[in-house]
Amino acid sequence: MPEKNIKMIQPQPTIQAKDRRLKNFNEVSLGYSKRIATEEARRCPQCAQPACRQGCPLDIDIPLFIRLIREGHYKAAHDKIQEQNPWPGICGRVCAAPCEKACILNQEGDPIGIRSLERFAYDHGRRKPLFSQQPASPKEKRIAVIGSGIAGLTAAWELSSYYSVVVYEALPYVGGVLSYGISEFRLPKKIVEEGIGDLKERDIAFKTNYLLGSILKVEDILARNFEAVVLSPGRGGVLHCDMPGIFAPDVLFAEEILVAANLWDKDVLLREVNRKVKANVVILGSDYGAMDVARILRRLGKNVAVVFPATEEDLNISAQERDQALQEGVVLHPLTKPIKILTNENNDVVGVTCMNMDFADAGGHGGWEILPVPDSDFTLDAETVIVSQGKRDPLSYKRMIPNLRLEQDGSIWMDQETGMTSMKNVFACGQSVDMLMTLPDAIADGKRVARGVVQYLQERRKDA
Amino acid sequence: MILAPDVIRLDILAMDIARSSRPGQFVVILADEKEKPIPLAVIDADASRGTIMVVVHACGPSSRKLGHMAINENIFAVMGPLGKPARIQNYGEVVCAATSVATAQILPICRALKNSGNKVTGVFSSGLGRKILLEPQLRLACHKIITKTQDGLYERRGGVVDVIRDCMTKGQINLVYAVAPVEMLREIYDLTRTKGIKTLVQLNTFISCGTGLCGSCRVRIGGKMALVCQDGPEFDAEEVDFDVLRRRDKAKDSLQVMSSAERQPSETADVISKFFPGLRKMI
Repeated sequence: MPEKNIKMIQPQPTIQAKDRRLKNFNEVSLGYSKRIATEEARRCPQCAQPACRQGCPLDIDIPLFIRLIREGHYKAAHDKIQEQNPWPGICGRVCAAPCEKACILNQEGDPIGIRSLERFAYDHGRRKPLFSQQPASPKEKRIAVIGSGIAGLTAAWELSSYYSVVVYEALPYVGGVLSYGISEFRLPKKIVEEGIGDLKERDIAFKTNYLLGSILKVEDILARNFEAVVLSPGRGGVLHCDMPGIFAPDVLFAEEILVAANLWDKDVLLREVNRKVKANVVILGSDYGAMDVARILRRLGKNVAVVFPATEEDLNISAQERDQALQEGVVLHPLTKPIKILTNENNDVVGVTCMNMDFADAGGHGGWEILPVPDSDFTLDAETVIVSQGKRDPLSYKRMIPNLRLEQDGSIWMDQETGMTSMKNVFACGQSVDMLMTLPDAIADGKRVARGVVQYLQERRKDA
Repeated sequence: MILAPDVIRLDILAMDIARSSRPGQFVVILADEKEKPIPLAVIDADASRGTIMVVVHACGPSSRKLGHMAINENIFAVMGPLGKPARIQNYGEVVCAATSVATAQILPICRALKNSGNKVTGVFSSGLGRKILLEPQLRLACHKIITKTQDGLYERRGGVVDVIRDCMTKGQINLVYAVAPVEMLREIYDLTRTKGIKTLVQLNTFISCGTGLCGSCRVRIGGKMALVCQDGPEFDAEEVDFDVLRRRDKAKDSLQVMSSAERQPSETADVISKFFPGLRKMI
């Protein structure tokens, strides 16, 4: 093999054998071994003006931590990442890796496996400190963070250096999407719990079962001697899909399965899923939710087909995950548009009517787009249909906080300079501000709002 | 406290919920970590003691776990109060109709309606033998109470719908408030629609998360999708699409309210009553 090819190929992390991983919920990817990580780190050209660092919304010093891995200083590499990103373990597993897209090697071959190296740094370099790094000193000012998703937790992490922070969460579990939305075999609960354990060591208090708008009111919090409130309630909201047959009892939304699989005990899950989901399942959708549900149901022994109107390359998930799903026996139907869910007289689902899609030049102007092929209807047999496509309603912030100003699309309005919302001392971050935020963007946004809060409170003190 | 076989009253210490809950709202309870959430209506909230009262029908694995907890045992999580509070106004003459376990669910509504100056007539039936759940409290909460059981063993025989029809012929009614299985709600609405009486219903679809996340409680209200846990549980019967509701109802968990209408009288009882008409009353 010529020398050039070796240098241009990104090694894949070790994964569990496919016949074994269908029988457990353990993490599929096992990460780089030390040898492969060192070799991959040696491939990094250590650019003087690193493109990857500009691509990263968190501004992690990527070349430096790769060099530290190459030299064998795993803990130093981990600490270097943690200066900018409190969650190397989580990002190393489920980040969308904009840095790899920006990597200059991407133009000629495979980029450096930055995400996998970040995960390697966490797995091998994380040491629990023997004693709490910051001795608990009583801090006078208190800040409330509402919502314990990744943006809220990052804001809490950043703010805990200056203030004492209380995090309120509506569900009984801390973590938001990390805990209920991402399955165990992609992001083990252990990693999330370790991260939250770190937060608890920094004297951050967690209060669960506090639903905003019901027993938790922003006005009450401000009256209760909190200096500022950071809102990160997330996008939430339920799917809106008006396909015929959507109200049949065997049609489920993807979140129902995801919540069950991620939060409930495994025997409760088996009991519930076996009662609700029959043997042949068709999943509509192409995002991570759809693919996670498909892989969960494969692990529970169902036959799963995923239907989506885009091409296989346009799936919203990484190529690695797609290959893993295919190995696990998920059947993909790309370029297929579901039209109607068929039911019989007992309201049992019997199939899904679909239409083929193909590239077509409808206007004759060379604007090729994916359009349905006329008269190409066919029926896919199904006993249960799981929906993960359609318009997602944003959470009704109006109902939670009545006098908050909102944008046109339902997200929370905020001042571009200070980051404050229309209410005094109330800040907002995460997907409640921008609906299309990815994981690294949300972390960056949590840091942004924390900086805004600190600056605002310091200025207010000067004025006073 | 055990009210009937498998029906258990729980008083739960939850300060914040007790302080802020309104009639018609519900809570979601997880008996322990990793257990399935169970939605339960808040029957009574005592702000001074900080307790809420719920009634559990222990018929599934999760609700049995909750119902059979020891006194002073810790419940993992109580989330709430969820849903919109009931629309309580001064309507005038009000009929409150409920069946079996739902008689507990309607108690706070009756109480609130009476307090706001309505004349409340309660029509309750039971699928649980002789027992109307929380009957003493219901008698206090309503001006007049008509109870009946499916087999006619207690006070009078006939369906809830028949009793409402009687009430309608006897006098003017301004509002019918019903908590019952879907078929009975539809019958009640068909009846009240003829006279143009405002009808409010509480729906009991299968609620899974309670925060408007999963969409398992979706129904069609006024031509649009709505979530019972967010927009409900109380709806105007005019807007409810009962066809969709019946279809969703099949997916409903058996943990939910089991009605007398769904339960067929057992065959043995039929045979006995056929041959020994007098004996039926003693069963």
